[in-house]
Amino acid sequence: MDEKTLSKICLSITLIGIIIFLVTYQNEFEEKTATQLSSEENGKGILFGRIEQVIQNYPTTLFVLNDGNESLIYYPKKTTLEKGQYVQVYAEHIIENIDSNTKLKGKKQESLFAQKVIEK
Amino acid sequence: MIIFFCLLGAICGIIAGIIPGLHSNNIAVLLAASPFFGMEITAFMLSLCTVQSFVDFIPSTFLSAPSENTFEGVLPGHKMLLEGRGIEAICLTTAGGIVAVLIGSTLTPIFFMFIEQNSEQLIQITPLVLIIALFTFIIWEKGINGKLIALFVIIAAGAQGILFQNQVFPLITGYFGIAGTLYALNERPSQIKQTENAQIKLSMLKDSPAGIIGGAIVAVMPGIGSNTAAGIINLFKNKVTDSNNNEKYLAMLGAINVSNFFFSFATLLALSKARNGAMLAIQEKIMYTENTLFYGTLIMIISAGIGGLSAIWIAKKAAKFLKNNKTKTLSIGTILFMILLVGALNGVLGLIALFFSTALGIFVLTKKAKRSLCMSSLIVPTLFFYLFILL
Repeated sequence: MDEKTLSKICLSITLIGIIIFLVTYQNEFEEKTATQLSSEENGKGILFGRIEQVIQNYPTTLFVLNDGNESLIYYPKKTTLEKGQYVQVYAEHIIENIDSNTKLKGKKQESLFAQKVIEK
Repeated sequence: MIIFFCLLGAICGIIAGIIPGLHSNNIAVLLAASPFFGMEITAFMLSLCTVQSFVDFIPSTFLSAPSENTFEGVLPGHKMLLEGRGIEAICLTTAGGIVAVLIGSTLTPIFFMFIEQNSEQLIQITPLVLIIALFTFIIWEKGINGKLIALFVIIAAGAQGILFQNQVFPLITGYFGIAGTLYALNERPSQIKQTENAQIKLSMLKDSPAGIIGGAIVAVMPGIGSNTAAGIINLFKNKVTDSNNNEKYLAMLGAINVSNFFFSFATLLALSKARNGAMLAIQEKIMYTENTLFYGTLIMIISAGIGGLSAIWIAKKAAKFLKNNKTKTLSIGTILFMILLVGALNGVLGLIALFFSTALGIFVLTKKAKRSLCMSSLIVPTLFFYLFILL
């Protein structure tokens, strides 16, 4: 095998990779309302709204977001979020036991799981 | 958009790869401060790292100016360069990397599940593996003298690692960058004629699958770098098959370097633990969804192809450039650049660390000891850290 053959193999890998990526890639996060997201099992979406209440900031964050309807959002990181702030939330709809470190420990809560919270 | 970020990362990977001393970690620091996040930033960083892991071998081979991942490739690469086979050396690391991509990408989901289910056990065995690595360094050195030198280097490098905490860049640059370039200055003729065509036999890639195991070790075990893993595997293979030669070794190093990023990414997703600076940068930026591993792996496959193509193309250009230019002047320029970079990034303490690490690096080279011994500067502090946690 010479360097030209190796270059052709590299080029083929790149092109095949790009084709597979373009065929399979779906943007997982699209703009939705919390109500829409809650109705989808394992749904994902970008929410925008105002923080109505911050239940806790540390060691994880739990807050109520209002985007027309109120929803409980769980974010597995500490934050400095405050009531009244506007945020964009990359969220998933997961039904699970909320982290035992939170104030709602032990309760099976239906919350939206935030992957990322951006203060606006 | 994702493909655009992938291509942008590839361009930055090429730049980071060809400039000695510039590492993806330096770019990762800037990236961590950027407002980007999600798949875009993941694509950028994975592409940068993958492409750099191919291109990185060019300064190691042509200037003897290695990075922390390629330093063991300097001597075999340098030897091939002096024989006029510099392009072939780069083709070998590229071919090893491509083998790692083809096999490693299929193993990534299995590796992910294994890591996720055995995270506790991995933490417990980490100190043991690090101790074994240190003992291996000593045991495999030839003769009592060699073993004593190895022991001395482990103690000296370990002490430097503890004394100069957070000075990894100056230490690595000293051990493997400046020491290697200074050492090579005496051996290198001013002009080297290079063969333009490379021929790679499939038998030369025989050790590349073993390199994938090395990549997995590097991705899981803190303190163990690509070269340490290569050294251990190579020494072991030496005893078993006696099949050591420059070509196989370079292909294996290429495989370790590339597969390391596949497995580091899987480790990040499985344990939320970053095993290198690049993963640390995307740790806070990444979306942990069920598709992230698949898309990330695809990005790395695409980037590996680009990295391979770039490495071969740049190697040909570098060979032509060296034919017409005095390499000694270039090497001196590289040394000055590395000193300036350390001064700019790490200040006076960095320059002090650079001085002592260069001295130790030259000592290792003149005594013909394994350069992996210098990695003790990372292994020893990590070992103490884990022993402190567990005991």
